[in-house]
Amino acid sequence: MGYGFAARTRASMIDVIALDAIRTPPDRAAVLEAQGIPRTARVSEHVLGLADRSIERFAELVQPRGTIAEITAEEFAPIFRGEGINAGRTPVEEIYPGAEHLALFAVTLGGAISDEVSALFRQNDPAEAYALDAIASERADAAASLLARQYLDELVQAGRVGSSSRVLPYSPGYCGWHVTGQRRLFDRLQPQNIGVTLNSSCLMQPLKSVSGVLIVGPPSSHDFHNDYDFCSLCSTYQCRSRIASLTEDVRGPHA
Amino acid sequence: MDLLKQLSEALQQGDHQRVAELTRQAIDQQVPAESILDDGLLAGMNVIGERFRRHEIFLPEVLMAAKAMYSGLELLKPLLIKGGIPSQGKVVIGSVQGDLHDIGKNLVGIMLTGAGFEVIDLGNDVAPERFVETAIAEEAPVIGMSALLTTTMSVMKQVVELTRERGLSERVKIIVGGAPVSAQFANEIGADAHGFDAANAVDRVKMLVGRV
Repeated sequence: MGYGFAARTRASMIDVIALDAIRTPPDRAAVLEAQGIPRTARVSEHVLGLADRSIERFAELVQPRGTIAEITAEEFAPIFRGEGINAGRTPVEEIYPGAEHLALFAVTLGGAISDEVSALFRQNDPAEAYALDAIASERADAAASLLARQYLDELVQAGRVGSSSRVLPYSPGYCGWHVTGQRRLFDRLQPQNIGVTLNSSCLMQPLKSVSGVLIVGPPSSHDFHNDYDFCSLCSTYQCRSRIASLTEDVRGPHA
Repeated sequence: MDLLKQLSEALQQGDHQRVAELTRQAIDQQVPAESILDDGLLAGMNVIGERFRRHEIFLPEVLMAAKAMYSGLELLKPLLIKGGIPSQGKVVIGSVQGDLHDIGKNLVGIMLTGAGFEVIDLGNDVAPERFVETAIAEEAPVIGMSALLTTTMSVMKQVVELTRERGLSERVKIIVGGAPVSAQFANEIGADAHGFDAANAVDRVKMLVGRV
């Protein structure tokens, strides 16, 4: 199954993508891990039941959609520059000029999940709210990864990149790319077509949405040393696991 | 087993129905409200807090216990008010102007209530003046602010400056938190404390009000 993206070669085309695979919730262990519970921990029946209810609730409420638009490095440059307040040096600015392909993207799980989380807090069900929110956060990131894999699959099938190429999503608000970078990104991509808007503080709504740029290139092109100014303030170093994942086969079932 | 000990145990199990039932029993038996609160509900939450710090349990269990605590507290509140029994202190919390993320703020509010504080939750997108005006009106010694966007963190500094301008710096302490908010940032803007997670925020608030 493909979405015919590879047939479109004009950089200005914007595609809206259904992300049905995201409707499948993560397994129970992943749900617990998203709530800070290690896989090795002994967990009570209450917490297991909570995870199972949250998984069911997620499946009922999720409305995943994505949108994507290819872009050249020249077109991306002003988008990345944004309002001129990025960090002095960033991984994205050092990676994208050498990319094989670039595409702006946005994904969302829809507003029903965030509404339900708020309602659960109001009803004094904080454990249920937190579990559902944790699942949704993990799935929103998974949606971005899924869209990235679909994009790469199409490029490989069309012969536009080799099978060794890899893709990663990069988002404003991380690693020195200022969150206001979303403004120009939204101007170009128009994610309101999938129901995602940006407020004056650059907050996306629905909350469980992700936007950014997909960068395609050899695995080594995505690697970098953590010697940027902001690295010393980071508490997660998620970049390392993202880069490590590139050594796995990240292409989807179409490859 | 002593009724209040049963109450504490039921709270620790996250059994909100049993907590409500036992709280009603204790009230019916004319156990003083302050004792029900301190030796039943707060005693249970203190055990939960300790077990959480030791990583024996995790946030879901803490939240289930908090829900159970609310069940008892709702029944006890009229008696506490009637008896003039004070809380550990009032804390005004909110997500700053421009920010609609509230999970972290909600968790902090829940855990502060679990620790015996009276929480005045202003919700999301709260203007700087509203934090300060509410702290004055409620005579709250602590303002807690959350931000999850780098674009909204600057509002925190505005609140700090407002409290200074109004001569409130000694009377009202400010704690900040949120994913992009670091201890370094808190220090730079003149905040009194930084909470790196909900449990840490509660500990810091206790220090701010001198209840450690």
